[in-house]
Amino acid sequence: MIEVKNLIKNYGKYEAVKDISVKIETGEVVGFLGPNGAGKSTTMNIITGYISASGGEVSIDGFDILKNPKEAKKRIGYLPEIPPLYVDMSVEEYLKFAAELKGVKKADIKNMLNDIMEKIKISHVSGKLIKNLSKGYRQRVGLAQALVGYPEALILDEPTVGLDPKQIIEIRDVIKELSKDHTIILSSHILSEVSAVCSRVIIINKGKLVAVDTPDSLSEKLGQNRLKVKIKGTDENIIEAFKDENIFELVEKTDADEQGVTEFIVKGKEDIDCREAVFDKAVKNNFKLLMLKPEKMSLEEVFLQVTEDDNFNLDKNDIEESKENKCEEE
Amino acid sequence: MAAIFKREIKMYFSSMIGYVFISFFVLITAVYFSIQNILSMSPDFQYVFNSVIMMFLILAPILTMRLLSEEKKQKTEQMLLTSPVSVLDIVLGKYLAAMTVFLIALAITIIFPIILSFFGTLAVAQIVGSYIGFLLLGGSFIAVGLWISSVTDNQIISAVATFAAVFLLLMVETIVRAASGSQSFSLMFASIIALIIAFYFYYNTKNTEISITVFIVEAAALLILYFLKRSIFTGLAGKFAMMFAVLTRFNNFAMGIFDVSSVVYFISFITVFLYFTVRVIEKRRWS
Repeated sequence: MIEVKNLIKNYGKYEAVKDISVKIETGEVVGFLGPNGAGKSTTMNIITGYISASGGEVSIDGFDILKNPKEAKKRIGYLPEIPPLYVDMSVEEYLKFAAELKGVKKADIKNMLNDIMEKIKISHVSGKLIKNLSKGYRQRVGLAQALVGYPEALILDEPTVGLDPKQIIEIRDVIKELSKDHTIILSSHILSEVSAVCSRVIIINKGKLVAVDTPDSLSEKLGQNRLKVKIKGTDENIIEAFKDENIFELVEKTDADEQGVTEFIVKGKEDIDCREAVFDKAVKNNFKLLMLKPEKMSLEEVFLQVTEDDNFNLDKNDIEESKENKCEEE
Repeated sequence: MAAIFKREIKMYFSSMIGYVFISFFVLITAVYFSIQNILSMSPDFQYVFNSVIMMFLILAPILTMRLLSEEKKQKTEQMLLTSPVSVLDIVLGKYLAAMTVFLIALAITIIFPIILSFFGTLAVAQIVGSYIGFLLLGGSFIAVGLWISSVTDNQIISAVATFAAVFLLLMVETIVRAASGSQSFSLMFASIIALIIAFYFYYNTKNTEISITVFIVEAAALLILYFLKRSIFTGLAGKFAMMFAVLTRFNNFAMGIFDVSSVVYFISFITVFLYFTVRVIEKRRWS
């Protein structure tokens, strides 16, 4: 549905987007994650044809956004970070303008608008001037505007930013509802939102793509070699016994939820099977091992780890390739 | 384009701007009509327009100051530019909307010559000519105003800059008559143009060496020309500036001459500024 190839955007000497390539299939809901200033909005602005890239290609349903902008733009609905609202118009007038702008047939406009306003739950404010609406409702009107013309793909730039918790949940429900029959790209820095709605996550940092995967496998991959261990007894020595720098990178005590039990997380070094090592240690010290469980990282932790590390790259193939290249060079 | 045109027309009349513009325009025309035709008992309605022209200083900014600047400020241009319409459609829609409001105001003033026709013989050719010339002249100022409003996102700056631009366009002839003729003045003028071209290169390429080279080549060419064939420079600045003398062109119409070259002139003038507007918007998307 949406294909982005080697996208580059430079502002003078500053590189806002560095060589991003993604392919998004029809029906997918993709979360676009990154800290502020990572290039999320820039990328979305390029995909929707608001600004143009310094290099690379974007195609929507096979139509290039630069060579065939009309066809490509017909297929996307865009809600920018600040909803583009004409505050002097009433909601209905505004949506009607959006419909005419997107070339909706005159006969269809009325039904379409009623349907959309019903879906987004703004029918009861349709006669109000947009400037008199609250932030939450403005956001909804912005979303309704993106839906006008029934585009196949929706691109939503931080749709819940600045809303109160209740409104966030409402908007999120609307998005979930929409995800049934739309391809959606959604940017956010609220991670729970992304893990709640999205089937795939794209993480970018400083304009570079650092990870593309499902939220689950992302946290699994990063959680590799991390175990949660429970051992009977509350002796201080238990933790000490596991602190072996040759085997474990990290041993961290956590709060136990049972009495008379020590609980901690270990992370093994790269080529060591952590499970065996923990078992061996327990046997050697005569500890009673109560639990050994692979520890998943939450999306928050994944995000922090991925964005804090500049050279991080989840794609192992890439890393191996670059290693090979280095060898060849030598 | 139709959607944008319709919205702009609606905006003119749902805010006060449309009404203010039309009533102000008709009022000013009525005042001059009373003084020049009724009180002095003259049937020469065409001279009324000559007096009203100065009012473009205020009228043009009223119509154009928010057209594109407001879109930028409110971020609504994001919606326009991501919709399946071309930039040219956006610019044309806005321009035609402003022209429509101007036309409505102009149409109302037809009442005045009709009133006059009951009491005397009218110089029909001059009056029709004046209307056509006035429409084209107004169209040119609106095109300039639209272009200026695409450059800034501040309505006030847009209004003041449009005022200044209209003022310069109206004054070109006077200034040229006062200052041209001298060859060294023309050389100075040509150097300034050369400098502007060099800056334009720098603006587009951000490359200092190319821009400096361009300027040096231009300056050398100018100096060689100046010493070898000084006569070229006689009245050069004046000739160039007279390209913008819209008022001179208008006077032909007011005299009842339907001058095709002037029509072509005004239409090219408008086209060039609409093209500039499209370029400004496109350029911002690319940089």
